[in-house]
Amino acid sequence: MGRSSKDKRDVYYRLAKEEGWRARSAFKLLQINEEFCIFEGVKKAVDLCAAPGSWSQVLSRKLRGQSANPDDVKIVAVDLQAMAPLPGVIQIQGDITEESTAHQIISHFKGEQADLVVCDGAPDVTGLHDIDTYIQAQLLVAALNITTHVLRPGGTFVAKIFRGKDITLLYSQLKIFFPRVTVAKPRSSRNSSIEAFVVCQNYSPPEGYVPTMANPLLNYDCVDFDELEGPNRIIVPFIACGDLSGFDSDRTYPLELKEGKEYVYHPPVQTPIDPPYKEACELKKQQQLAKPGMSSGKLEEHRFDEYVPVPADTIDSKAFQLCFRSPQDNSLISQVALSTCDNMESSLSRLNLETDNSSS
Amino acid sequence: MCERKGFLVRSSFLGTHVTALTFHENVLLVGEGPNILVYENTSWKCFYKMKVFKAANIHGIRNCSCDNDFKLPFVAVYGSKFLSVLKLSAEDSLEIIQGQHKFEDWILDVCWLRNKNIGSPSEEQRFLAIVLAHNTVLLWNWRESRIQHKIECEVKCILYSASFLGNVWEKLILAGGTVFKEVVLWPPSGTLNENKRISPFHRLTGHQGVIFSIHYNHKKHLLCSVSDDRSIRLWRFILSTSCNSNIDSPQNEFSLSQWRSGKFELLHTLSAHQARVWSAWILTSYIISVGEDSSLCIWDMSGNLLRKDKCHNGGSVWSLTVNEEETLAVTGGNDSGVTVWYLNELLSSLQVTSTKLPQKGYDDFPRNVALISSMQKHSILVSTDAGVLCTYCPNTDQWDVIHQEISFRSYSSLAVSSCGFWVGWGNITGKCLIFSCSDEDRLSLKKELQLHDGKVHSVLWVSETPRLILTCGPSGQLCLSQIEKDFLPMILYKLFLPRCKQHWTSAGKYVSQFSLLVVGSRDGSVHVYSGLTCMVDHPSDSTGYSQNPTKTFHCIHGKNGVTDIQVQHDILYTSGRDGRVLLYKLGRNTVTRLRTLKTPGEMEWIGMFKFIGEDTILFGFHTTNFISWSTLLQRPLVELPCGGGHRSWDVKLNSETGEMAFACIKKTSILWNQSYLLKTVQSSLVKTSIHGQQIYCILHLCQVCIKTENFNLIATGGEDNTILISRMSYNEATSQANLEVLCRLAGHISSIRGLASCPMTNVANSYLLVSVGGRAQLIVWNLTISHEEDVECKELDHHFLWTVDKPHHKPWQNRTVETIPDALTRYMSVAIFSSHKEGWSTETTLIATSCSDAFLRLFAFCIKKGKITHLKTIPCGVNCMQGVVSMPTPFRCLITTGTDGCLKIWDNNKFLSNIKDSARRLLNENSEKPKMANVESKEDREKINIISKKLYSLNEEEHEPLLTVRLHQSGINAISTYKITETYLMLCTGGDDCSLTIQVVIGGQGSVPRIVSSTSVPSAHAAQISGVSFLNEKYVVSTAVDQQVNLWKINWLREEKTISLELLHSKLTSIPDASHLQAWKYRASDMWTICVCGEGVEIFTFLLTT
Ligand SMILES: C[S@@+](CC[C@H](N)C(=O)[O-])C[C@H]1O[C@@H](n2cnc3c(N)ncnc32)[C@H](O)[C@@H]1O
Repeated sequence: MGRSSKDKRDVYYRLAKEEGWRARSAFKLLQINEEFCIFEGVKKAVDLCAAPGSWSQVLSRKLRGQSANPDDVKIVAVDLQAMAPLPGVIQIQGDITEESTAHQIISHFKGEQADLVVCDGAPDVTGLHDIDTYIQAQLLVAALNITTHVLRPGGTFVAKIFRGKDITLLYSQLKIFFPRVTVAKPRSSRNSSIEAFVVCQNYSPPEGYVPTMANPLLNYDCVDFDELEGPNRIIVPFIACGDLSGFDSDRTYPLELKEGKEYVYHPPVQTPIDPPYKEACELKKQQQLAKPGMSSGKLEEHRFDEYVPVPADTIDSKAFQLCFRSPQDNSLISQVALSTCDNMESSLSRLNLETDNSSS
Repeated sequence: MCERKGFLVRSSFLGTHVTALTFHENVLLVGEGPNILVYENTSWKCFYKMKVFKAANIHGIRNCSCDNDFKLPFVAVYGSKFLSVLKLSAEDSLEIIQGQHKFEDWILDVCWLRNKNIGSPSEEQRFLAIVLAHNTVLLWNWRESRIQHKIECEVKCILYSASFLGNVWEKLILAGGTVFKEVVLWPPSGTLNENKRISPFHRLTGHQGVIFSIHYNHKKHLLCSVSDDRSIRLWRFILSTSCNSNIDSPQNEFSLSQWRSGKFELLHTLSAHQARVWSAWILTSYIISVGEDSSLCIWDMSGNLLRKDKCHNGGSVWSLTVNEEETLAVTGGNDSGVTVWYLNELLSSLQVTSTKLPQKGYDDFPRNVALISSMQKHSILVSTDAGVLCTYCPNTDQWDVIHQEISFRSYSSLAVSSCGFWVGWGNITGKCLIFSCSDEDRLSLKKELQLHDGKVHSVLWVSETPRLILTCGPSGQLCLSQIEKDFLPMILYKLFLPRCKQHWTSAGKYVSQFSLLVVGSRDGSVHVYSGLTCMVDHPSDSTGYSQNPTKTFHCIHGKNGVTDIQVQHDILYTSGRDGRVLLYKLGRNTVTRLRTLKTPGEMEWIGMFKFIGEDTILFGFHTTNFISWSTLLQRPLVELPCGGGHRSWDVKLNSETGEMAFACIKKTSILWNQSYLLKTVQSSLVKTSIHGQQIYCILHLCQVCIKTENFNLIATGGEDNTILISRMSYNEATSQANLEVLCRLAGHISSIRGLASCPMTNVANSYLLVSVGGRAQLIVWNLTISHEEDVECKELDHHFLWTVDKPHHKPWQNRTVETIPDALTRYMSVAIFSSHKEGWSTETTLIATSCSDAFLRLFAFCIKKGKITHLKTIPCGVNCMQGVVSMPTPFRCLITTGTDGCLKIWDNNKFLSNIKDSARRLLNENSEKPKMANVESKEDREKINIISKKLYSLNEEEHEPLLTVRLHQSGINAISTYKITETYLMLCTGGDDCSLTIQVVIGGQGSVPRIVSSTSVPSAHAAQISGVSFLNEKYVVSTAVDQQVNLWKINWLREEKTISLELLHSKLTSIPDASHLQAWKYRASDMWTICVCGEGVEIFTFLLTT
């Protein structure tokens, strides 16, 4: 399959590239905003789990665009992974479940409060749904905990959730802090995927609630498993958002989206800088993955760190890829655009690696 | 709580991820979902099963058998936030000592602690150390169910994995793996710092991603961590020199000060997995690792990879354990399978040995090798360039010259019979020498035959009784000769092999039962010569080489040749260099193609195969490796680096001794290997593999009574591109169900999304099955239940919307396919429908598929011709389509659903009205399959082109649905129909928006369908609904990604035109990501079966008394 195949299968992936977003996720936030107007009057926002940064791009464009003085706008973006810079976005690299990261974020809001906290965090799913939804829930709980420290009363919190068997427990936790909780499914999110977004409005912490870092909200998890079965579960309303006549993320589109509009291939806009499998991919490319009977000594000879990632284009064109150059003669060995989440499949297939099927 | 009217819905069968394995005393404990299964550790018989948790899956089973002096009869079982303590009782059952204790957070590891202070008998043991996901350790008194201590680490974050080092509280170390790529080691019994937490002793950095598991070998002081970065890192703990290095306990346990002052040193980084690594074990002399790439790797202590084997049907390998003696490893996977790896056998021979011909002063080199059995030994038979036939015995390193003849110089053809005692050797002049040996004597020349008047292209032993040899001479002359003990050879038949490029045979088998000779040729064709009886007084010498095959399967194995042909019962198997094994049904004078055997994708070509018990073992090559692969275990047995398989080679596997011998030629050397696989071949299977990946669709095909047995046949398909045909049986006494996989249907090249079936009109217990999926692929199958309670599966035809780039097994079809550039369209669902319009005979089945490119496509399958024809493409709006179902007769309508939440009803008859002439004619006359033999002819090609053009022209056509209603906010993932009367129909839909709707439709007999009553339950589930199924007009069941199975009561008042739904019962399923569900009534009782599929299959049964 050629490089256009992903464009045919995933129209939002294609549109993201055409419109200059770093990931197709941008459309999810845009579509949530269409329904809930979450950016209204927002000057200060936190973007948790932000890499490669398309939500930060949306925040930056929208908030700075609607503000009289763009410099009044403050956006703090946090992720485990390094992220290329964006105008007006403060970046923190760290684990949001880790206390020290939480402190770092809070420190940026000394004396002020945020109007909006968004979290698109997702673990690299393992395929064991109970673990994946647990970790996802922990990211949400960590995000909620950070939110209770920085969000102004009346503010909005938007976060990704996996709708698994324990989802009602999470709903009940969110209900403690927000009178209005809605599950939203943007049309750009695949129909088949387990992801959805909770839109929590009008932050109203329980009276006398003192945010604490020590034990992030675990105490609230007092619901017994017996309550998992039966009709008395807390269920929040569902809203599908985005234009129904707009693009459908499940549909296979022809390359010619509109009659007469010729298809042009666009390279991915921005990719994460250091994905965990980078070294392994490179070993595979170099045919250096161990094979039975091969001595391991060979592996050490061609250490990955001898290859230097070099931006192919200039940074401000926002298109940069990883180039691997030979340490001997500096010749270009390969040029790869590695990425997470949304366009992993295509980059892996270009690297000739098996992709995890969960994403398709 | 809602057991109203006593609905006792019970889980009767579960097949899902195997996430925990542990040896305990003489049993193997298997954790599958919430269940524990107990297997005897040599026969691998399951003798006990128990559900341990109500709403959690088992992630670990811990006992304390790591030290000889510290053994307890208990095991701790944990998963999610729950922990239970079980005891294996004398009656071989498990007893719950402490059930389902719930902790505040996710449990990552549990450790049985020695009673250091008390020093009392182990029965007094009271404490467990438990680590929770936020880097917290609990000291838990399990007898009193009381938390003694709760200790937190200074590093507060989510751990993905954790492991306790040691088993004495005072010296215990916890190693935790963080999201932030580190292994953090800290002592739970250490001193608290000013924050009332404990600072770590060590932080191991270097991994590039999340750490998924940690294993420590306390005898060797080695620790390994595995990660998202696909590597395994091996670390050694070294005591600091300043610290007194005597280890103060017999258990090799260090004191906390030793732990603190010592350091971890990185020994090796092991990279071979091609996806994430889930788990690794350090043994005395090996390291074993498993991962997401469905492989198991065995490494030596210097970090060299010894073996890498794919297993568990392409799914993740989730669990791994090794017995105390370190003789066997067991793995459990995504496929619900559990398999045993006998380490001694697997590691006994990893390499081939190389031998050269003894040099005799001139440059001779081997041309052919084969394996023979003489004097109870395997030896290697070699024919050389100089015309020498000699044997080599690897055990004694001895060469023996058997025969030498100038006319066998530079070319000869060699074959050994499957018993290994008979040898045929042909040369360029048409001569063939026959040698034989027995248990006592060595190989010797028995007969010289002059069979052909030119080069003997191939020699094949095609039958044992009678002993037949098939030789192929110039220009396709085939000679079938009988050779018995008296060595009076007799030519039975002279046959003609149809002309092809490399005009000779490559495989052959004589089937005396049916008097058939089946021959495979170098061009990939299979030829059948029937009516060849082996009467002794059969005259034949006089006739020329004129007898043609009675049937030919043209180029069925692609261009590269047929490699082996075998028969089991009345099923013929052929293998080819196209990496496939094909099955055929044999009858007197007939051979009918059945289907493709599921073979490993990574085996590039299959050279030979052998039946051992229930297993079919395939031998072939992958890149430069020789592989023997078990279809029963769905994994390789042996993999040997040999430099590829494009030269002379042979393999023999003795099913009684498990001895496998392999030999091949590489340049001027002979490579050979002997492996002993007795246990591997005989008892590696603990639990059968189902689907390696997610299941998308399930279809209850039929319920028939055969020999008083209730025979329920189920088809499932999904992400792993395979359709499983399984038989469900139910034991009323135990109320347990069982699924037995009868057949794995291969052929789809992408995931399978929809299945539909209908009975064959003229054959009893025979069904048509239609499967659709990714890459716009449609396959029609036939399944027939035989009296032996077996199912015969046959692939009838195959259809793509596009041209397949690899050689198609039915090449003539390629040309009739309209080439649509967009090959990425997914078929989402399929329905079989009927038309009222006359002219569509019962011989034609109409098929509708809903497609991801927003079209509905219609096909016709003509049973008589065995051919799929694409009729029409109907635009259905701007959204991806989801379901398509056919309304039961007399409604004659199709219902489609899409991601826009709309349901549309279409008139079948309108679809078909204007193709009356053209298409029907095409179907009945023109689409005559071209004769295979001359498909190459220009004339035929033109004819086919015309047909395909015609088809294309009636391709797209606008239609208006009879009815469009928007029922959901977003996608309709599930739909079910139920006919109440001839005019009333009920429809149930489940959406991505968590709502469930019921519609009552009035219609039928030509009237336009209309919805008369309708209801919707907005939050019927907490997540997207993925399956609905009616039981009858009063009940419907639904399932969703929230893992609930809900039973609803439908209150419909026909007169008032009102309808409502009432939730009667709700049951948790252990199947994550449920994607489909079907309910059916079991036999004539009131018992119902609900089958839920997703990441596995679960079957529920319950009584519905009205
Ligand atoms: C779906 S991506 C976010 C995409 C982003 N919203 C955008 O639009 O570009 C999920 C991100 O979550 C991050 N993540 C996962 N676990 C995290 C953690 N514990 N702390 C911080 N970030 C985390 C991953 O690194 C990943 O970049």
